[in-house]
Amino acid sequence: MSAERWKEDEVLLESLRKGSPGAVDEMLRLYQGKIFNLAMSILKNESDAEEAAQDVFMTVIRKADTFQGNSAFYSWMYRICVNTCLMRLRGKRRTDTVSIEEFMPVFTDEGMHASPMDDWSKEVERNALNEELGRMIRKYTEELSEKYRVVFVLSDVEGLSNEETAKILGLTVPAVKSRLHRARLYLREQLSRYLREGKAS
Amino acid sequence: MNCKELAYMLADYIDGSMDPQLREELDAHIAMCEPCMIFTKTFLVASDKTRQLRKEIEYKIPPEVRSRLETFVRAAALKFPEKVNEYREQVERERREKVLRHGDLEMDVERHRVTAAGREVHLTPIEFKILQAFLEAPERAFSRDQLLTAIYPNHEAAVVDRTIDVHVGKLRAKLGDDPSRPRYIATVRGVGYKLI
Repeated sequence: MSAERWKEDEVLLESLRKGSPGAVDEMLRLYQGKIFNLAMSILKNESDAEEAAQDVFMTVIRKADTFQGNSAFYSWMYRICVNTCLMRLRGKRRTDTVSIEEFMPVFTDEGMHASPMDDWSKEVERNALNEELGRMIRKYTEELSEKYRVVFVLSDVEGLSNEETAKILGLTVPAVKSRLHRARLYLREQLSRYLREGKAS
Repeated sequence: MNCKELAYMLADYIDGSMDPQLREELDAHIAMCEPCMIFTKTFLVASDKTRQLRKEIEYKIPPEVRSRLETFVRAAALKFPEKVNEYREQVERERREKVLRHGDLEMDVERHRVTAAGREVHLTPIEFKILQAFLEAPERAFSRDQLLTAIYPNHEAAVVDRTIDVHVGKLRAKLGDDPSRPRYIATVRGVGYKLI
């Protein structure tokens, strides 16, 4: 995380604690988009995400005084957001998710790749497909169960380190790494299938 | 080193935490194994693309949500918890006042009332929840397990999912539905049930 962000966080936390005018606006400016995105990626529903975001900001305002400062402010905020969203998800009907196993690479008994590989890296490197690819990646992410989805969003979309993601989710670093790797393997396979179909049609 | 080991070691390979000797072995394998070369290449491209397209992948906050959220948080920051409770009540009220409709079926969730073609139907809480699940997602085919989840959100596998058939059977009877020629609830073979 950039030094600039650390500094902004510190100033923000201080002014929230003091109840300075403008503190809330500053918090919204810095984090509204991020919190909404994180809530959406867990809840996948706009009105749920909106309510969750309200809860998150309320909790942050209320607890700014008691925040210990032993983790970064933004990671504390993300943790509140993840917990708020997971609470909301509990007791709710889950939307259908795919089984990640079906997208893991398949090997022969000798540990060789069982099917031929298609090299689509050049196609993707051209930027012409970007808009479509962004949409597809989001769609594939949504189809993952939240166990993988949240890790993937925090690490690869939000750009947090494995250590930060682990802290936010209350997981060990190896657990984060393994979920993230499986999510990436899944994405690679989904994109392969997608690009292969695109060629066939 | 084989392809399978390689695929699962890629995580360490990428984040630089891999032992240098192992890294050499991995590079040597990639250099002589075409599938692994392609696999690694496409794997890296997929991850790079995700980072590059972060802005496209993120959910944008719609302007109306942004302004509602700002108003709420500002107001609430000034004098919570009154504002929060007020808001909660409003959300709760809206939820309670919900009336679900589909064809000639009508469900008033708050008053726990259901009518089919204008005729009132008395349902048990379980039958009510099943019908509510159908009405909230009229296009969707529900598996027995999904219907169980609608009734008992935290159910464990211990509940036999065929018990749902009994509840659906009673619900159909009350709605005057004939399973062989249903008007309201259809059986989806191999899946479960859906609303017609």
